[in-house]
Amino acid sequence: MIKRSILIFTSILTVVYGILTFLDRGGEYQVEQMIWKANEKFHEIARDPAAVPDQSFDQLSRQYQKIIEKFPKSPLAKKAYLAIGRLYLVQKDFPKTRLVMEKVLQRYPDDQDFSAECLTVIGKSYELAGDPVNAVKVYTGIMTQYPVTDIGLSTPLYIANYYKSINQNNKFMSAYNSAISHYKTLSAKYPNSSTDLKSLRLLANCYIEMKMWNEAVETFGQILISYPSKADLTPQRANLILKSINTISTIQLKNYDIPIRIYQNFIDQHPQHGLNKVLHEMIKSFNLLRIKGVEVDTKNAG
Amino acid sequence: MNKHKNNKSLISLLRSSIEILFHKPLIFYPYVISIFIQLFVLEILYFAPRYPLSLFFAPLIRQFWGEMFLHFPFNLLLLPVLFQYVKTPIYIISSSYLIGIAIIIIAAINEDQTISFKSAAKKVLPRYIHLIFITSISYSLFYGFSQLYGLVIKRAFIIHSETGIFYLIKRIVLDGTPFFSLLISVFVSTLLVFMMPLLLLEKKNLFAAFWTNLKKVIKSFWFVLGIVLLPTLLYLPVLLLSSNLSSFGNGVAPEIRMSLTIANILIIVIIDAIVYTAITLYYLFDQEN
Repeated sequence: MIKRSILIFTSILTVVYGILTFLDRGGEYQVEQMIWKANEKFHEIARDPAAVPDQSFDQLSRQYQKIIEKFPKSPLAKKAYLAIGRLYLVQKDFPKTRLVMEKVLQRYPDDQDFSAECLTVIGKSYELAGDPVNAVKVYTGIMTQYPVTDIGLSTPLYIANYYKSINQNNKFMSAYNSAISHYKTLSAKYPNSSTDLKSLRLLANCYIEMKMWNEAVETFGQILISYPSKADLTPQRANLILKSINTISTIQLKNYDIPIRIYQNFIDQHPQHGLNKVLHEMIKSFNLLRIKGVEVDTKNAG
Repeated sequence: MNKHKNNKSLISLLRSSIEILFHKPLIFYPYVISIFIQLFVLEILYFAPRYPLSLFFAPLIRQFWGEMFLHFPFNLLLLPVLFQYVKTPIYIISSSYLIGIAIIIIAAINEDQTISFKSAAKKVLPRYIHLIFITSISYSLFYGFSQLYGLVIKRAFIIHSETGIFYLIKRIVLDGTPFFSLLISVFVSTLLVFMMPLLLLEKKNLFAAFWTNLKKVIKSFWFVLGIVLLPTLLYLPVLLLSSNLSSFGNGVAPEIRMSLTIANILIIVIIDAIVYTAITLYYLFDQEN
């Protein structure tokens, strides 16, 4: 009786499994599974590509190709194409990387975010081939063609940091200045939008890199005051902005009036905001420091 | 069977329980049904993010956990959590009834009576509400003790020492949480272990059954604790594996989590089978003596 019951129950479970799998055939879940497994192999290969035989690269490339052929209409097919491009990048086959990415760009011309990602891979191939001129040309192309995508927005800063990493000091200074100008233009062009918020954050980063402390702290203040909603000013983001304002004002500028002014401004403009309690405490602390004439000396501290 | 309060007798009782489960498979049949019900529910939850079940489950998962958990491999991270939510109602509503049937079958076999699964099920039915009540009390007690342990954990978190006795205490409390949870479960099970045999075999009301249960447990506390604890040790490997599977980043396939949940179901039912068979046998021998 037990054996018969176990058989019946196992059959029911198997049949239900089969039916539900059949009903979901062609669904995204199967693609997600295949992509994930292929990506795991990719990460293994990327850890030490020199130690991996060419066969493994080919096998993995075929695995991604299979996903594209089986599920051409799936949004994850694009991820598979990108993965193939990155695989050739890891294999240091830069001409093949560019060839694949250019074909893919022609296939999906309307997807701005995806196109920006493909161009990033092409740019990276020039970087790794030691060709900064063409790399920057590609990145500049991303900035102009896809300026409001996440990648397009971060590219000016990326170019500046790239010049810094290859010790082209004259170029990196001018790249930071171009980035600053670019972000200011975008902020003015897309006021009160997510593009404006992202541009201001990146602008603040540029000012910090350029040690333009006044401008940096004012930009953080502008972000705080202009984007007080819960969606934009998450607890983590608020914490980061306040920390940045406080650190720059205290250590770099040695000026307590700036954070007091910014926080008071915020409280005046958003009297019911949940952050005001914290800001009141900070204003009190800064006033106390100002009265006592305390300066933070980072050289002799600790 | 003589009741000797020593380890040898405890081991022989447990051994007899396992033997009787093999030689009288009818006793194990309710537990097979329990495994099937749980695996069926797990299978439904596995397919929850996929069409057609996603039509019902996707809005709920999106609302409470986020879009991420509708996709592989994060759905497998969520699966044991979802199962944990439904495990308690399944146990209260169905497993308690099935354990009750197993107890009736053991009692009938002990008296050399012929019994079928159907007739045992009919005998348990009038006491079903009592079984639901006592299982709910058991879960409430477990929850209560777990909350108390939660206070201990909170206290441990604020220990700042990084060496010495306090650090050791902190580490034991925090790292030992799954094991202490297991001990709490063993303790709660021991406290109420005779309730089901008393409700079903002596047909006592709840208060009388509870009072008699308490007397029996106090009379041979360590022996009864041993009956519950020793088979529960079978759960330790699963517990150790679960504690070490912190994320997929350490090269662990996500399907391992689902396999662990299945192993969890099987081992817990086996533990229940051994414990309740042993307790029922002990109860019956105690009655005869």
